[in-house]
Amino acid sequence: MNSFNDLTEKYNLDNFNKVLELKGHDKIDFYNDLNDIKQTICRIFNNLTTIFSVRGGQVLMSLAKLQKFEEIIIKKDVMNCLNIDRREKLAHAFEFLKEQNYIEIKKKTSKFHIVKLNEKDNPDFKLFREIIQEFWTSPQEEKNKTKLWRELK
Amino acid sequence: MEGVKIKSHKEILAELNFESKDSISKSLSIVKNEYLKNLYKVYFFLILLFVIFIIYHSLSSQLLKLAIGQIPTIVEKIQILDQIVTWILFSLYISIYFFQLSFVRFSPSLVNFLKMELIKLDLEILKKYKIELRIFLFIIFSIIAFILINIGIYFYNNSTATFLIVRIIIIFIISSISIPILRGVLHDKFVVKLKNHYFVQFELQFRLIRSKELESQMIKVYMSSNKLCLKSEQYGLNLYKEISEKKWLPKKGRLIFPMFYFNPSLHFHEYSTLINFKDHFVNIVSAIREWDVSYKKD
Repeated sequence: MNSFNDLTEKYNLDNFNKVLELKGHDKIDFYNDLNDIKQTICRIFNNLTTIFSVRGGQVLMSLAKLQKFEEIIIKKDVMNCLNIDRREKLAHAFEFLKEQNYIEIKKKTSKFHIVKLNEKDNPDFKLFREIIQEFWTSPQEEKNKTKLWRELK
Repeated sequence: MEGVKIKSHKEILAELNFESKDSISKSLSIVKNEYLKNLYKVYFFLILLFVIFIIYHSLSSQLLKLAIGQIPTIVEKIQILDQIVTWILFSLYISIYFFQLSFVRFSPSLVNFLKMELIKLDLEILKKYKIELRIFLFIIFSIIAFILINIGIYFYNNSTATFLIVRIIIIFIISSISIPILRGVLHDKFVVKLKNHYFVQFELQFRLIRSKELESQMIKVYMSSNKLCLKSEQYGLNLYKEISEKKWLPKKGRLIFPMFYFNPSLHFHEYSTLINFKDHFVNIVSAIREWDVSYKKD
């Protein structure tokens, strides 16, 4: 399932004369179909963010992901999550996202910058974060998965 | 899968950066300069070879004209010398084919950039010989044809035939050298070994004509996986389609003559520019991993 229209049609969500009742297997199917759609959305996010030359989208995704595990996120965490070797590669992205008010940066020291998704001003980020945290595999995780796979005989 | 380790360069290589417009322009200039330097080197040898052949041929034909009707041994000597020079030139031609075509990389800085990107993924880049089976067969065919033509000249002592055959050889040498070298130098091939028989091969393509709007796309990276299974295998084909769609992988790789292309096997393909090389490389690797796990399981 990778279409909202198909989901609406399958469960008659737009038919207001009929009561929507989901029990047993139907409920599980509905939940799985919904998950499929969320997973597709996540793939779209991932692929769109790698098309553009500025890494802003990838930074937003890594921030959303990291927020699941960490209270305090610094720029270095984002770098590691995206498996990027040099700080300069993200400089433009951080600058752009800060300007657009998509992220908040608190400068504790010259090198210790706490970064956070600005969900307060961008309520859409809540859904974005939920989807990313559940389905996105970060480049660092991809690398670890590949490493494990390569070690398997 | 064949491949050779890339030796570390003694010279200091420029660090390429594709993060901003200015740095893209600067990096592309470095790559272009290195590429042109290599291209000029190859063409220098080709032109030199051609000039030597032409000068020698005009001198020897004049000598032959003078010698005919005088002392027969001089005519024989010139003919033998002709054979020797032709064979030397042909050996040079073969060595250009094997060495220049196989080993010339268009930009050491670019190779270093890719190497560093892959090190971050704990992977190693290997050079792939550019001489493929079809080029190898073409060379063998050329050698046989050349030997037969030479034998023909030696036994068929007719000046018009010799004149024609020599010109055919010149055309043959020029076309057979220039076309593959142009293709060979413009397309660098590399391999990254993943595990067992799994690998990713990538080919770099450089656009000589610079476009200001599409500067970041001047260097294209075409990636393809090893053979996965036969296209006729239904289960494999379905799995291939599922993974390709999920990973947004293109169905076809880079084809020079698509109408003449026939491959019974399935391969994953991916395309990227240098700025997103690592992301797209990870994407194709993840597709291969998923294939390996699912194909084994079922």
